[in-house]
Amino acid sequence: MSLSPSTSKMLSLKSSDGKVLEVEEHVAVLCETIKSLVEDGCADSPIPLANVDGATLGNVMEWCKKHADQKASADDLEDWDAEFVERDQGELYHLIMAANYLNIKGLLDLICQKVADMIKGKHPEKIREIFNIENDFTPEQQEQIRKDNSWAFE
Amino acid sequence: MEENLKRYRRGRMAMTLPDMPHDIVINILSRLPVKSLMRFRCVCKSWHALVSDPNFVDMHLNQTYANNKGYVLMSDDGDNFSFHCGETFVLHRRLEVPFKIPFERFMVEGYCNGLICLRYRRIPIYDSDMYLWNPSIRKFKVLPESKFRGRRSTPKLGKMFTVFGFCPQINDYRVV
Repeated sequence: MSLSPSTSKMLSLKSSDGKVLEVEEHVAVLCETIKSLVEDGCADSPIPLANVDGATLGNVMEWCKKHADQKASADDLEDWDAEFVERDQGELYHLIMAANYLNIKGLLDLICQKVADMIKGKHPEKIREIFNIENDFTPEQQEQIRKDNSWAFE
Repeated sequence: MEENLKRYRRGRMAMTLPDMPHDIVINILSRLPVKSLMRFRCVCKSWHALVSDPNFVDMHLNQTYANNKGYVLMSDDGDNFSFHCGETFVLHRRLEVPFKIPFERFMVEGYCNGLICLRYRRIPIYDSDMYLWNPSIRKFKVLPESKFRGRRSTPKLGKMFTVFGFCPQINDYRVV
């Protein structure tokens, strides 16, 4: 089986909200999950992707298309990626979940790095707000941890 | 109206970490500088446990190695320490020794994975305490006394010297 661009056939991907996207096979196989289906010969009918909505699937395939382009240089990809991750938190969250489900390491690492850059240096209160985390420490415990790591709060 | 807007924002904007697989949380946190991680220890109990977990520390170290070209540790006559970029030697940051005794100077016995093994440059040299120092988290340990303490050399082994490094077999650091 050849996955080169010249012989690539089209695959249909069906999102959780019922949208069908036609994608070239050599682009879609950047998703390891889809690649396994193709290799096992199970990719004939529209492939149902129950955990990815249509808008997110479109974004993911846009990334795959760029990264499947063999003419793109490393510098070009880096600039393009930097622009690609300029999104709101909701979109980034959906992209992370999709990259994880579709098993695209490059995209997952890219978005994780973006989120890390976003939260770097922020205060714990802000982090809880961003991630909807409940503070399960007592005020005394919290004070103790702050005291033990006081330099980190300077 | 405002309540609706809030709910909408929460749905669209929030990352809702409780829904995120643990692997992804680890992936994100392993990319943060140590100072942020020390801060985030008080976010919640599970983050506190994660940041202290040796497997996470390993992962963070690997991530740091993957993203950096490495640093050189420089010491100004055993008094001031600083990290410099491994390629350009430009100053990265100065370090403050947390256990300094006035008029005492140090010698670096070894340096590995961000840990520095120091000894006071005192005469006789093998009669002084040794410290293991992690400048990233600003913590140090006084190493247990060696049974060769106070002896410059042994008739059987000849002159003694100290080596500090990581031992993969025991997955820990050793001073020999």
